[in-house]
Amino acid sequence: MTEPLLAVDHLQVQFPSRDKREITVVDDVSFHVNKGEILAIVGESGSGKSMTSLAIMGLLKGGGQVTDGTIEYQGRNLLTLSKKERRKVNGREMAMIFQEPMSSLNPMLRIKTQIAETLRIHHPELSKKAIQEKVVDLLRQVEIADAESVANRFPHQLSGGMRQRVMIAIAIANEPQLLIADEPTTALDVTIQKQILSLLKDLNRKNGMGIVFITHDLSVVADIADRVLVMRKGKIVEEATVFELFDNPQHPYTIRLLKAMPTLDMKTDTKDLLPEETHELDEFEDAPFEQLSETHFVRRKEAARDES
Amino acid sequence: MAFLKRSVLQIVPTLFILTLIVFGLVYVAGDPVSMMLPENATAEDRALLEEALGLNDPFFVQYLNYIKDLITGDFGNSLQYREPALQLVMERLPATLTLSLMAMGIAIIISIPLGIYAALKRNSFLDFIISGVSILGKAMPNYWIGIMLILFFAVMLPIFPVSGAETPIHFVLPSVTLGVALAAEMTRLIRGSVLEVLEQEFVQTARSKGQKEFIVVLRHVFLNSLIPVVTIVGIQFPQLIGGAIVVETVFSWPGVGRLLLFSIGASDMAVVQAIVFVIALITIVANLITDAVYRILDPQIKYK
Repeated sequence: MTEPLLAVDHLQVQFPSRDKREITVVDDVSFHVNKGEILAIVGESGSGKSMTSLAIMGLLKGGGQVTDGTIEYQGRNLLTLSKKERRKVNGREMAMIFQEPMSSLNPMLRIKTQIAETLRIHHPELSKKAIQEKVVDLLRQVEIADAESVANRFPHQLSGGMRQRVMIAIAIANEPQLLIADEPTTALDVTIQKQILSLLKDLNRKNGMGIVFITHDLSVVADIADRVLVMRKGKIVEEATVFELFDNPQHPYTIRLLKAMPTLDMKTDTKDLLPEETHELDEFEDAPFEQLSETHFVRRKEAARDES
Repeated sequence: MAFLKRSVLQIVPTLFILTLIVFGLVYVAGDPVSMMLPENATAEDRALLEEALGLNDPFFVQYLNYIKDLITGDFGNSLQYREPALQLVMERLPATLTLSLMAMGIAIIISIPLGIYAALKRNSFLDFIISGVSILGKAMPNYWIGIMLILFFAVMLPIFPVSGAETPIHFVLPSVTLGVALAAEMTRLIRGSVLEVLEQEFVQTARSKGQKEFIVVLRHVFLNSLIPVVTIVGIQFPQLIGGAIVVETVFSWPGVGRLLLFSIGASDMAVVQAIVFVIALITIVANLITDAVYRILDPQIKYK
């Protein structure tokens, strides 16, 4: 088996709380991303999916720390790198786009300056002219029509969809092997969402760039992902290929997530979504993983296993 | 161009209202005749002088004459010095402006690194110290700071001169005295502003590019936190000149502040009017500069 692009093993992330006890937001999370693969991480707010991605990028804030486990990128443990070595990875080997395109660009700098910044950091040898050409070229790659004029604008002069395209241009500037997209389409309206998704799929196909796609929207998952991780309360509860997950969901939480997806006939029974039932889900929390196929894993209790 | 046009439109009515207030106050409070005549002057003498000075004319006639003189740059003559009032003010203005600018420079030099540091090391011991000293700096009146500085650095340790404005070394104690409160205020402001910007997502974007933390802080955080700071600097500059009145008195500084104090004491109204007018003009100019700096700093203002 070839080495995965990214391998996360027994990752634990904790935040300090007021009474000095640590709060665990990511607990014993293990997964891998292969080269050129799109892995979706789904889960509700607070399930730890964003924290997992920030931990991979080394961008945890507010005292959050990786307290256990390893994050290996192409066989190198990112957690043991020096700050300087770590900076060489960010923006060059792996890049990230965020949920809020309205606030993820610096309002005081022109678009071209912000794209050029990431090029200059990792390619200081490039001439001014080469960088300028590259900036325009990148804007074209993310399908921005009048690239030259957009390069000279400020973020507030662009729409949300355009800004997210600019963010993608920044992310792919140094042709990273891995892109982490933290709910990149959540803040956009549906038509723009489609466009951004197809742009990401194109980039994945053309450049063979692996993508970790974080979302709470299963319809987006069906559209883009090869494999899916379902997270709840900081833990992975089910891991499967996108087909296995939609055809044969095993974990009750996954089943409920799927039921929550609106359909045309609207047979969804809101009773299934009531929060009172979550204690039943909690019983699954510490259950061991059961392997259903080569790619399908689920946390299940003994009892549940006997029944099936 | 539109900016200039709008500025002129703002300045003219402001100046008009200003002249009305300055003239009105002196009209009500001033009594130039008793100031000018010797104490044993008779009632006839007073009446003659009042007539000669046009003091018996109606308020608006007097006001119009005053405006007419102002337009030609004539603020009247000082009773004490027997010199044109405006000339007296202009002679002393450079000393006061230099003092205020140096105080502002000191405040900026102190507050920017301290404010940024306190924000980055939020809730640390040094942050606590910096915040505490800032409150102290704002709470201490500047005449007291001035007297203490003189006591320690001019009397006990004779490093700096006590008064006067002859050499650069004379500037140290007065400008520090005047700058302390502003430095304190700005440190607190920069700390808060930087803390706010640190939470913004574009800072995370910059880090995700692999940018050095030092450059992230300077280019992305600090630049964006400058706007409220510019506001304070713009508002505070005229207040600095106000503070200069006290500091100039403590250090016998030959500036406008001391002139104002003496002129009020001597009811030398022409000089008082000229000073108020000039300080108001400086305030207006400071506001215009603040506006212009906003435009340079924040592209969103320019295009709105």
